[in-house]
Amino acid sequence: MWFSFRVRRTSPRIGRASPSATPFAGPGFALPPALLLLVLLVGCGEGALDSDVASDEARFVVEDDRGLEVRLQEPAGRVVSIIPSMTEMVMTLGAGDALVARTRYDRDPSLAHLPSLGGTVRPNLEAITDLRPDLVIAWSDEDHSPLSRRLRAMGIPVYHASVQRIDDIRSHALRLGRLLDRDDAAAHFLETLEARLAALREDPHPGTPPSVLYIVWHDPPQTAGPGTFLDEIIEVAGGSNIFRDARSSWPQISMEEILRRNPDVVVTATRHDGEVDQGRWLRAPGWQELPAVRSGQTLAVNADLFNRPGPGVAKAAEILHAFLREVAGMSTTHAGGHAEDRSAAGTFH
Amino acid sequence: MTGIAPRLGTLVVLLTGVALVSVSIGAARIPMLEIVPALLGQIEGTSRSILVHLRLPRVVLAIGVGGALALAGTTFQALLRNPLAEPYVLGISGGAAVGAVAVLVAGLGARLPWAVPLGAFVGALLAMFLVLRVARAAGGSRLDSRVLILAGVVVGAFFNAIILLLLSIADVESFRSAIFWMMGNLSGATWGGNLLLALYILPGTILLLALARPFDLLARGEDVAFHLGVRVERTKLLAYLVASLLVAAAVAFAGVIGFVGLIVPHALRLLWGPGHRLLLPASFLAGAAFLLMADTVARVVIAPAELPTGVITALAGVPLFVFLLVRRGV
Repeated sequence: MWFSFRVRRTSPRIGRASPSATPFAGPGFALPPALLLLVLLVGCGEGALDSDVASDEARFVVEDDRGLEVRLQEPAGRVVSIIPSMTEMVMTLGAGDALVARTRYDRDPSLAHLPSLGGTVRPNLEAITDLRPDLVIAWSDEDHSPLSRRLRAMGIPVYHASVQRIDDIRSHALRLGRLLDRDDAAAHFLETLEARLAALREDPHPGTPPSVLYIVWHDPPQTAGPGTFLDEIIEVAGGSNIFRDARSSWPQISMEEILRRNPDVVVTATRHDGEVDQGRWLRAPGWQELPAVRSGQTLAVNADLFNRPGPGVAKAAEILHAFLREVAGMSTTHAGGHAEDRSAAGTFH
Repeated sequence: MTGIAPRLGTLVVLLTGVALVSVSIGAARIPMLEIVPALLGQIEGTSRSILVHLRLPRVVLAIGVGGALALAGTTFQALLRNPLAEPYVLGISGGAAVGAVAVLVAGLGARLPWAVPLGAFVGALLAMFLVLRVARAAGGSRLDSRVLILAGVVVGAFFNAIILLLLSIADVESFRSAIFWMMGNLSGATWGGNLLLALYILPGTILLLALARPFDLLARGEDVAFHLGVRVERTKLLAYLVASLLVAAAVAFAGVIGFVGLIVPHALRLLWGPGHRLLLPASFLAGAAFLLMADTVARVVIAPAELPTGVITALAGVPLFVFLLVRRGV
């Protein structure tokens, strides 16, 4: 899975990570993995304590998203991550050398030499054990319990992560920074992230924010609902998510509903960087009826960048912001004499 | 055989009513009185787009697929004289699924919109010929219905293994598309696809309807039918091929939708008796109405999202069937 389905109800409290602070894991609830199980899994993150860890011998201690303590004697040096967004985070923190495996979704060339564990849904336990990792980063949802339970039984520390919002990304940067002894890199990452997001927020487009339909995957159409990092990215980029009122985080939506809502802009995630794909499937029934598609107000984005709640969120927001600026510019031109008036522009039906 | 016309008339009225309701409700409500003006282009905008490009083709697809599956189910039950016979008894669902899943896992689904229906159709035909070959090889020159069922089961099991193999190497996105396809849904309806489907369904349906008398005689045993002048082997082979083609075409455009072809013929038989002059056309009409109802529910029940139609046909069809079974007996 390229993202996890767990959502935090409260944003984690993040302070400057001091070696003794245990980052916070808030009470959470699990969302149904939209693709297979419709069973609602009730999460169990307990309210955690910011307890000081007195012991000096274990300075590398954090609490993971399942409320379990991860305690390392040494900074992690042999890391297996089965979550692509967290793999990217490890690399961003400058600890890419510590990675000893990859999954088929980790397509970064610098990881190509590592053994692949295959997909992320059912990674091979023996293969992971064989790599003698001193830290495994695994999904926090219940589906993956057997794997992490057995790893822990063998004494391999497991860091359970769920990533749904941008705040989660910040929190993981800090906690992984601690486990990898890269606190400075984590702090630097947070500063850069804040600065880049703030720059976009302070640069709104003229007129009303264009309504954005984000297609996570087109068959069947699935979008990003409220409480997701993609919803936040759309907002930071100066748009408004047209399915913000959906009842779930990753709702499957019908073509009729898409036509009825009539978004200004359609953004579609395409696999790898196959720009080709979008042009083809937008010819499927219904899509051609959307004014946004007919007038070419569509953007194909790389799913590996956009569908991943990792260090790439700022870049994703910047790409979307630039595109929405272009669209807003077109509408301003259409508005003719009102081009000067910021509030009059921004409609293009 | 009295009462055929009024009963079929009742079903036509039912189907028309269901179609009107189905066209009217959905994510956007279109009042029945506005349907005709919208079609004539007197009402513009989103409602018209939804009506013309999404909802009407979908209603037509549901009628074609539901009718074809129920008609094929009736045919297979008549030929095999086995109450468990259904449209997929010759392994067609497994073959179609292998074709469709292979296309999706190879990543061709997004590039070539027609690749999935084509893959499913080719897979279905492959399965059908494989099953007939196996049955011929095992049963000699005659098509023994027990051997045929057995061949269908083993070929189906083999295809299932291939599907699991493909799914286990699929990536997340293809996996999701493949599972959705296998649950059966009508959201891919287009006028072009419907036209293609009609090229199979219209002649196929007429051919099968013409076989009502031989089917009635076959029901009394193959020997009896032979002595009453039915060319048994030829009739059986023709019926198998035509019914399978109907199912293959339906599966190509709608995925594997279960229970319509099993339940509708049985329900009609329980209600109106086994005569095929009524049963064959009635099963087409009732199957069409049933699938259309199921698809309408699938569209609206968790709006703005959609359920796979195949889920509804099983959820609604099985209790209905059990009710009929308990009340009337087989």
